[in-house]
Amino acid sequence: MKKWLSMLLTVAMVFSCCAFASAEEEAKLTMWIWDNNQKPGTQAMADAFMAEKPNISIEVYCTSDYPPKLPTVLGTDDCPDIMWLWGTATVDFISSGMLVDLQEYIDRDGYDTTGWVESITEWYTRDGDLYAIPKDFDGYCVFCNKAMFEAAGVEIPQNDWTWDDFAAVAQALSSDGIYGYTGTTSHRVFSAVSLSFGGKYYTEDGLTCLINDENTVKAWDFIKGMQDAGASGTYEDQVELGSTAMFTSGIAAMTIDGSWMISSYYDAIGDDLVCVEMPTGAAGKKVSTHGIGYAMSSTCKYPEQAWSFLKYLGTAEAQELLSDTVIPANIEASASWSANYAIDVSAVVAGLEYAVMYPMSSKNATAANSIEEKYINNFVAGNFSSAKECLDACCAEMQAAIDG
Amino acid sequence: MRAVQRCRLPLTVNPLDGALPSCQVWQLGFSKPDSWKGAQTLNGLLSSEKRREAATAYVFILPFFLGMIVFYLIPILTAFANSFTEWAGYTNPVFTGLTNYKALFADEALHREIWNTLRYILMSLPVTILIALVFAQLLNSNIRGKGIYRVLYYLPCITMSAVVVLIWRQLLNGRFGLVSVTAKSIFGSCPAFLSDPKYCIYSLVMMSVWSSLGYDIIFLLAGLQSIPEVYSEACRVDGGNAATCFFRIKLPLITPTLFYLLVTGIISGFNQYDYSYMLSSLAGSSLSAESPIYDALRTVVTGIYNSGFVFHEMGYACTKSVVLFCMILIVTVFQFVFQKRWVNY
Repeated sequence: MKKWLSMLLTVAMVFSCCAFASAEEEAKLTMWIWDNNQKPGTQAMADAFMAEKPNISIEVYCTSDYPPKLPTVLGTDDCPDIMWLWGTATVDFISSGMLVDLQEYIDRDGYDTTGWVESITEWYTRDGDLYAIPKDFDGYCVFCNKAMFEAAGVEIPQNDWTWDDFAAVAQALSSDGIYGYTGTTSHRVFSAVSLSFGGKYYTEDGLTCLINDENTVKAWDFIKGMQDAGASGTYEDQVELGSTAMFTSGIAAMTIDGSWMISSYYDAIGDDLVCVEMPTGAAGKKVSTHGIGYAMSSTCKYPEQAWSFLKYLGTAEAQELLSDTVIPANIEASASWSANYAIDVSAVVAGLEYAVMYPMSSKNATAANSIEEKYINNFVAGNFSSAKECLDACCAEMQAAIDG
Repeated sequence: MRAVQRCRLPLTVNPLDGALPSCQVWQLGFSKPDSWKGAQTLNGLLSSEKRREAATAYVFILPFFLGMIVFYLIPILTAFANSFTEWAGYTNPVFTGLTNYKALFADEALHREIWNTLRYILMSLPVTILIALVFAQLLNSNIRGKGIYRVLYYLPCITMSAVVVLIWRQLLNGRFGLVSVTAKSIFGSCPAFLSDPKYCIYSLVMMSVWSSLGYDIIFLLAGLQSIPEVYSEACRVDGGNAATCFFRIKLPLITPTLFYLLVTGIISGFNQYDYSYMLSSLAGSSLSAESPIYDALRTVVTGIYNSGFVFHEMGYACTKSVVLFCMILIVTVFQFVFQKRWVNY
């Protein structure tokens, strides 16, 4: 008797780990994001939507390990119904068929897709089909620390400055232990400078890598030249401190960074923060931008409800709720973005006009991107004697990754 | 059937038995459990009563084994199967035969990783065990606050690896870290442990020695405490000094513990991932891009992660895991074969 009882208990123990969900009419959707700063705004959007549609519940989940985590759940039942999609991911995941083609829903409901910034909408479109609702738009500018400029006796630069002016200002601001410019290992900044010098990255079809063209070589030599002259941070400082910490703690007077950092920089240095437009290069001013999109997973059990949430996410009222952290892709909402900040951010807004989408290949974009980052890091660390040598090797390896 | 078993367990102190550990008691055949007597019939098969008892036992351990099969065995077998495929991780695997295995020989990154891992094990493991031995011997004496010291030495082991990296990043920072400031004031200069590719392996070694010291100390302390006092007394009576007592008496008797620590230490050394991955990320970011630091710190498991999650070549990542499995297997078998020469049970 005791034996049967104990065996029954054992079996119950094994089966207790299975959870049986009760049948509900309510649709449950999960949403994944990666930025904790944007969690309150995203939750506000979800709450506003749930207030209108009480039979849909949305759970927002924030994880900082997003890029490695997402591919492991794509195509499975654990995949979030709504997810943030980013540049290189669009190349890899759209072709895998794991994302829902939203075009049929758009055509059926007559949803207006002209309210967003055009380049972002194009970025998430493949063969005329939209795969993600554009969410935001990155602006880039040069952030200056007014107090450090005054201490060195250098004037705040004007918006029409050139890259040579930038180097000169950085040099003038540098002294013992202080750098004019933080320096960078970010591929976004490197591509902005290269594009501004007139460099190319890929051919139109995105299948051939052109990163070693002469203008890009000039741009990379320019960046390294500032570092060698002591005007920008060394590689050791990049590794140990990072450019953000260097700027916020007063070790460097200028940094090139994105619009999502304005709040954190303002919290650190307050009214000493000044935004200046990117310097002009041979090909004019360029900002290498990027925007996140909301995509639907093909394993979503409630596609109609997810689609109605996506429709809401693309509207101006929804995107305004996030405008204190990012620039909304919805043009109407973005007009109110600059009102969120105590300092003058017109330099960032002006930058949106000459923003080009971040260069990407059309095949194996994540792999090609990571090779580019490897060469940037090695170049800044001084492992190559010249930019030409570095970029030739980089181009060959990136091409191999795109082809293979 | 005499229950003469080779005691493969680490020596543990059994408070009920007193002087001798329980497994040695077994070896001498003194206290076999009563129910084992007469357990076997003439032709070696278990009687039906014993068979029923065994069946009940199996049912009780079933939950654990189910979990082990589902979460360990099946994934291992799947990984072996997937090593022969090309698989992006979110698409379906495509069988390609031995292509992945052929690619191993041309993979420069993998050679670098294997070399780094071996270097790391050779540098960190002997140092950890040696220091742990010294501390265990010191803790074995009757000093005040012995319990507190044990807790303090064990604390790094239960600290999460992300926290360990955070702490050591602060300590080793070239500008304001405690280690660099102290070294600069004493020696005048300090190598850049976090940002110089030549020296960053030493920061990895330092971190891993610091965090695994406590574990080794606890085991070695238990081993030392299980040695009966009579042996050291006899040694002293025979005219040996402290050194002779240690090297001739204590050390040979704790060789089983040393063997265990060596085997598990090498296995976890081959599996080194979290410290080397986190150390090679730039300050302020959580994802690691390839850089000279990443290159200097890369280990086999970071390479597996890279293949699987950055280059989306899961099939090749599975192949590398099979290679890692074989390496660890060969080393462990080698150790077990050679244990007869130096381990005294």
